[in-house]
Amino acid sequence: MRLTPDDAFTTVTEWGRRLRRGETTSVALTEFYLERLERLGTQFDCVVTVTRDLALKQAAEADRLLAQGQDRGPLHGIPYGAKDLLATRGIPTTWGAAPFKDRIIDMDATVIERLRDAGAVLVAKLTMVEMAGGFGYRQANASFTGPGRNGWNRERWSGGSSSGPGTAIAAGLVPFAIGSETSGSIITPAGYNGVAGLRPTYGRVSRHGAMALSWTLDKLGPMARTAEDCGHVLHAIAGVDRQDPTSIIEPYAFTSHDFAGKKARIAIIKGALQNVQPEVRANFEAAQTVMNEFADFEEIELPPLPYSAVVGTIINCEQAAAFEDFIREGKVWELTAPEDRWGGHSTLAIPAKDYINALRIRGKIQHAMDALFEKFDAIAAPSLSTVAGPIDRDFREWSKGFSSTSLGVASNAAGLPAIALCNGFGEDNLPTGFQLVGRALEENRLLSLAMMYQSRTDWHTRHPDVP
Amino acid sequence: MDETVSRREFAQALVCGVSFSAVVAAPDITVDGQEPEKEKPRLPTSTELLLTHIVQQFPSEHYTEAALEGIAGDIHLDLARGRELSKFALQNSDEPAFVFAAYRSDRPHGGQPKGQP
Repeated sequence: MRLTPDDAFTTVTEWGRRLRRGETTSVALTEFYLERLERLGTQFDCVVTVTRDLALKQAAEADRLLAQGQDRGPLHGIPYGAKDLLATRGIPTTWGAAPFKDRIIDMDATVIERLRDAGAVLVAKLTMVEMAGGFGYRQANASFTGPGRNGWNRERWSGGSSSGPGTAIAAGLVPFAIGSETSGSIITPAGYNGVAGLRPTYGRVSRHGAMALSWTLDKLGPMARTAEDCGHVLHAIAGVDRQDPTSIIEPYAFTSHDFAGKKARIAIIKGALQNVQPEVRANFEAAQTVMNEFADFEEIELPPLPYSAVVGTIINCEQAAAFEDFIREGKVWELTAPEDRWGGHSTLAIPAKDYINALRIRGKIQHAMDALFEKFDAIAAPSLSTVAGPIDRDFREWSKGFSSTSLGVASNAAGLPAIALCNGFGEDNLPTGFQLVGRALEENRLLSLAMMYQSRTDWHTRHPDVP
Repeated sequence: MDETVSRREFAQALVCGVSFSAVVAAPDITVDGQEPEKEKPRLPTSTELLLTHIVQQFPSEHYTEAALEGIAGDIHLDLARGRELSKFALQNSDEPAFVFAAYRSDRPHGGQPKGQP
């Protein structure tokens, strides 16, 4: 079966069907995506390393096992990309930063191991904002690989810090990828690129082998074309890991949530549509109309708590400890964005009591957010207030006058799961999106809501014209 | 930051390797070369102190005036966040979430048995 450019935008689930029907092989599929990664990766600045040899070896093994009747599940034989903060044995792991561009961490991160065990095929290490954005970047050009370019328009930003995963999925270079989020790094590139991004509950996925920016905020999660695909990937990578003491023991299995024949209850943050682009507002309202078939909506206000101050202080203090040596040794001055070279310094002198107070208030945020979910299945808001901005302008310029709600920082502070989905197109035919935030450990409830939305719409099937 | 020594002037002085005390305490010399009436040296601002601390603890030839101004701005923001946090009413019993785990009321240990793994 000859694969065409349109096939590049096929979902994980559909590739699985075709593999099992014998219409293609993992080797053919892998060769198909490797060719696209090698031909288009530099055009989109979304690929750090193409892992050709490893990929073909894993694909051949996947085909061999499937021929023997050994099926490892929905990811068996499916190519994927990993954000380049995940350690991979024998392959450079750069953290997007020039000082580490040739560095090899000779081990596999737990998620890499789990995906290998699930039969998935690692085809590329994907770009990211240097040091996962912890040093205060203000522009797209904040990685030694160049600015993250949007899958729909290469002159627009991909979002960060999981830039490569967002772009590579949108442009049809991989069917799924693993991103990471400390505060916004999955939801943002998913939103700007019009793909699905799932931020799991804190602790749901082991971070062993991943770059630490903020030990108490970092999460790893799947990005793909559909919520269903995100669920399959989460199923493969979730679970306790003795090498990550924060990993949750409670097992996870991707299943549909049973709403017991009732409509779901979704809260909308008051004022969420006030300072957003008109198309962002219109597309959110249209999505709400679609979801009215299976959900009732109610406007709420988030409890008045200092969400941004808490998250900002925690990230800064933990990053100061994580990267003190990086600054002391002078490597920080080799970063790409000029503001990143000095942007971490102030964190080295934050009073300890501020960090402790942030952690004290964080507990209150967790309780306040959890209380909201006694009444609601999810809280919804636009993923972002605008479509992706130009790659050559300071964020503060093009986003001036627009703002998002505190839902992102509030839910990250509380360690809550969220999913971002495409809900249409706005200015310059760029994607817009919305996010659903859920109660801790309720990824399946979110995924089910997202799948109900995607089953009634076709935004996730649209793709840019990338030959 | 005190208007008599602007953030820019302070950054310039640090770039030149001048200690903070020399910046804030040195008496101005008048046009006619006479020392002005002695003024009590002002206390350094928190931003100046922390900026000096950072530059001393993490020396580098890369500190430009712009970089130091940027760091000073960040310190100012960090301290402002700290003040915002301090304003939030906390009880003595409000413990920090040292061991962080996702929380929900019906599973007090966030799905994790106490003391595990």
